[in-house]
Amino acid sequence: MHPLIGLHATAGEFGALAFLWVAIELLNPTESRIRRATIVAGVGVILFLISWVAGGYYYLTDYQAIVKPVIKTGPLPWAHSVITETKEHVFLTIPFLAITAWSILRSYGSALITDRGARTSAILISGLVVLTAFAMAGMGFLISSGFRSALESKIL
Amino acid sequence: MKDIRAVLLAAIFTMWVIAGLAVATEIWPEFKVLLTSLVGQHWTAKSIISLAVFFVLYFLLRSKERPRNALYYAIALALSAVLCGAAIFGFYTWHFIS
Repeated sequence: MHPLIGLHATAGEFGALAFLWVAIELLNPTESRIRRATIVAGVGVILFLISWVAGGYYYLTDYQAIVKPVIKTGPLPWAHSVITETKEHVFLTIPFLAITAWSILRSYGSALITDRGARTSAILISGLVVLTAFAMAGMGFLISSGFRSALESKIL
Repeated sequence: MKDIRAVLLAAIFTMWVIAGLAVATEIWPEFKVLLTSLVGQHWTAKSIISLAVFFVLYFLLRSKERPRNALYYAIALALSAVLCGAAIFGFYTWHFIS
């Protein structure tokens, strides 16, 4: 267990929930719902930036030095070679998607009530943020499983 | 960042830059070494490059007109994100198998 992993995962999951909240608010928008969605999206962006820094710092220190070599010598080396490598790059797309969704909300504001195209855009990108963030959580599980199986193969 | 056309275009381009950097550092080890030499770790360099590309492009593409077809740009962004994710996963799977 590592506190940075806890911070990375918690901030990422709450960021995903924030954009799920945004998408739901925009399904039937009113001025107060758009105002709320804009605030929640801003919080979501901050959470993803926290997740980025926490996950990145852990990846560059403990993961590279300790976890990666263990996974690569264990029974599931693809957990690093495919999953971690994919995760470390696909994760980078999430903050930009989140900033884009937040920007649409800030730019259009109450015009989202009448502008169906802009509203659909915000829902589409928010939904993509949610799916990508939850995919990251799934990949995190696979990476943890790769590490655990490597340790188990040495101990048991 | 209130210019939606600029934000969406910058985000689309950034998706492809991230995918390009992921593949390029595996195909050309010299490029990985170059990125590592810049800031100590290639992932940190990729993070900084993607941030720089996004914000520089946004400021270069800014205009005062609001796009009438924001949804087209949003669909292009969603497709770019999905395709780049699939390309990165496919590349690393192929790299591992081969």
